[in-house]
Amino acid sequence: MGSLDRQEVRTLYELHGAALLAYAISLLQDRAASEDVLQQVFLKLLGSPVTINGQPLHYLYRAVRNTALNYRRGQSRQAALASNGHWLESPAGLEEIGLALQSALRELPDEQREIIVLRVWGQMTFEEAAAALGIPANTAASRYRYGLAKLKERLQPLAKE
Amino acid sequence: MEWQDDEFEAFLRQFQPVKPKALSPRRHGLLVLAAAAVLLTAVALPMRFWRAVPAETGVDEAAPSTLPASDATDGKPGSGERRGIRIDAGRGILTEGTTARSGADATAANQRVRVGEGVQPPVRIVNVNPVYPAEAQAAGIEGVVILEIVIGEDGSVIEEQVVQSIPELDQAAIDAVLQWRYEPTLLNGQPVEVEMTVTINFTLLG
Repeated sequence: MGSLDRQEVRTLYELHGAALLAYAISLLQDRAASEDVLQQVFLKLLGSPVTINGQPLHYLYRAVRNTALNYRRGQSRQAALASNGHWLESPAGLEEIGLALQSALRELPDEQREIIVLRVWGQMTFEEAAAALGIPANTAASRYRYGLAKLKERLQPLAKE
Repeated sequence: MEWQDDEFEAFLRQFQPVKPKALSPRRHGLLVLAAAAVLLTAVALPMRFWRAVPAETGVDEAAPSTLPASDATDGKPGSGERRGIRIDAGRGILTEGTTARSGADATAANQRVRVGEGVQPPVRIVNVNPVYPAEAQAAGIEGVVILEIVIGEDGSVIEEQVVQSIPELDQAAIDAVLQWRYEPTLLNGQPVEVEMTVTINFTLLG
């Protein structure tokens, strides 16, 4: 695919920065650290040409994931305690459900949470999400369905109130 | 009634992810490590120190340059002719013909001021010298790159634009400037963004 020029990098940041940040937060549960991860990934791209094989967006999700996991390894003691993971803005009147949603997402296994973030907020197909994560599409789909079922179970009673 | 998957996805998408902050180097967290790595790389190189010479371009504060001596042929120490390199990172000159605004013109709705009449250049508190590209050294390319930058309210460089280009050196200049950090500029007690021009003088010595 080649490397991205600076304008392309900035455009990707504008278009996908929020979803990538959400993805980083879903991995780290820490907004400040996730902002750092996102900046690090993009500043690296701005600073020097990086050869990208495949779709730039898939590369970005992989880069955010790898950087976040590296960060988490270095911060393992703090990661378990982190709770400042506010990363979703709730529509008016749905604030309580928004909090419950974030709580429910936190309780999901990592592999289910990340595929839900990629699919719902990253707007990816299963094939795209699978390519970004380096897993089979069927695996991505099954993880997604398990995770989504748990979220539904948790949120549906609240939404009916 | 049970939600269908697509209905539930649509419901979830009502909750929008928060927007990330503007893309710019910051002083904490992982980026500090990156900046430190750059600095350590710079000081680990063989170094020579030269007298700071005011640049012809009107640089008001030629930074005392740290001068990595580099091999002119293959970039490795110990072979070939050696050259000194001076990189002057100056700041705070006005480009002629710009529509500079003075601090007095700024209003609450206009949160950006320009260095010039009535507005002093902010104090740079984090300086990162550009890395002279090995290819440019080998080719003997030197000169001045001039950038227009915007310093954010927090003192980080949030925008940059090359106004005088040397294609082989532009990127090195940009990479360094994006890591600079200034003391925030206050107007009526409130932090404001600041526009200014900076010059990066790439000079091969010896």
